[in-house]
Amino acid sequence: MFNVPWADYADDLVDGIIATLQYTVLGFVGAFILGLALALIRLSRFKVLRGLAAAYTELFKNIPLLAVIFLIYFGLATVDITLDVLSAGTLSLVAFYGAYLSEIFRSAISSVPTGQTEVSLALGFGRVSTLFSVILPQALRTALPGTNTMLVDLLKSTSLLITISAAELMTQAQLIASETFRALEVYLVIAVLYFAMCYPLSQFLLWLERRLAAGKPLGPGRRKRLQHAAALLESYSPAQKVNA
Amino acid sequence: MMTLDQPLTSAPANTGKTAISVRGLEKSYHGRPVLKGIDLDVRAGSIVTLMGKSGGGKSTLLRCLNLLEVPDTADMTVLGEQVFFSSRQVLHDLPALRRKIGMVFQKFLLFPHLTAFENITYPQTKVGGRSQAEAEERAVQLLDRVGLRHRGLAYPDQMSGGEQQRVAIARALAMNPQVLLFDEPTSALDPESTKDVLAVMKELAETGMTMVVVTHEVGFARDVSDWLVFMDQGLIAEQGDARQVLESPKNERTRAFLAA
Repeated sequence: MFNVPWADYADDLVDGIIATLQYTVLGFVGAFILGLALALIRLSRFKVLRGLAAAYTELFKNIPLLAVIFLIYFGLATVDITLDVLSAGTLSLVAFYGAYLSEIFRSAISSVPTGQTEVSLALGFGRVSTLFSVILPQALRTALPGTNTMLVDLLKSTSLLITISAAELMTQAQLIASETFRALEVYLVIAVLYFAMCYPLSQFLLWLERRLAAGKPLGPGRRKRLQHAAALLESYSPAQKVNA
Repeated sequence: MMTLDQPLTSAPANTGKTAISVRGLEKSYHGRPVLKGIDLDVRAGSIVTLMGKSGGGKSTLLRCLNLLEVPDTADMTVLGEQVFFSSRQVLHDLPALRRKIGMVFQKFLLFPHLTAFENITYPQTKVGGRSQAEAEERAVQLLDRVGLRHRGLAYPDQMSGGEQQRVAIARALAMNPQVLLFDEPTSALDPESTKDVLAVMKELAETGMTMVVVTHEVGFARDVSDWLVFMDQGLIAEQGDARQVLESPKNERTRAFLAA
């Protein structure tokens, strides 16, 4: 059964994996920013913008990703907007997943109790710093599970970019299969490669969620500060301070 | 647990000056009047208690004092500054004003994703203009003062209500406010936690902090506060020296409330 000379295709596979990861990272970062912007607009007091953002979200949530890809790559070309494959592919993923992420972010931001805004204002935070320093850090924790699901989903969806020959893993697979006529073997291997990327990613994200839920510091900066705090709390003595 | 060898805060000891002055404050929600013309003076260093039935406008009045609620009309001076001009035009730098007026809420409202210690340091470094080291020193000091130094690394959901409220008081104090507002600080607490929180508030009162307290705790009003304001249906029914009002209330509604 295993007759494909994989060693000859190693470079193609590596290229495919790199391209897949590249689309994933670019698409996700863009979708994250777009999603957050849309969510904030939808929660703002600007009625017209709110309506536009809602319309955008509904539009892209109800069109298949494949149709979005075709519209952006082939459709726009007919009106003389020609995008290269990388731009068109990334843009499609951003446009599509931005809509989904905006829904996740919007509900997460709404789920932070209004009391948190009030107490921040009362402490002297401005409107903007309340949003970015108090509300969003809490909202993003709530949004994490949904966001993680979207990230893994986005990675898998890069395979649809085969339709515009994006040179990602699925495109490479098709090339190898057409050269070797070993479709079962080739696509099995490709499925394993996707699994090998997605499974560790989702496990890592789950681990992240659990750590955050348990209140463990994620970055070295906060870990250090908390260790320092523990030492300060342990060693403090009010009497010492008076004498000093 | 708490000693007075060092004051909890650097609250100004100058009593007598007016910290907050309110004249003719009116506020309505959707056409329903909640406050119908309030005149109130809070002297610096005094403890003012707001009492009355629920829905009488106490909390709304308190929230107007740091402009969390915007009055419809009022003549308001806070810490020597006119802060309210019209419902469309309030003081431009509200955050700066609010840093001078701390507020403690019924529901504590600690930041749930941060430890007690970080709850106290975070606002100081974010908007209080302090360095991390300064903020940390202040946090340890204040946690010790409210008797919770051993709970510094606990998260809010790991603390009892009383502990959370004491951390919330420490967090408010960390910004060095000149006035502290309390919105029913013990209403969500069991009797024992209530005692702990009231003890912290009492010590605070003894340091000369200006405090405005919405509460149902008659004991606190009698033993700690100087001035009692009794509110009813959006108006001040009666106000005066706390002990006098409690012992011989003149207003019929005050009498009915206190007899209940």
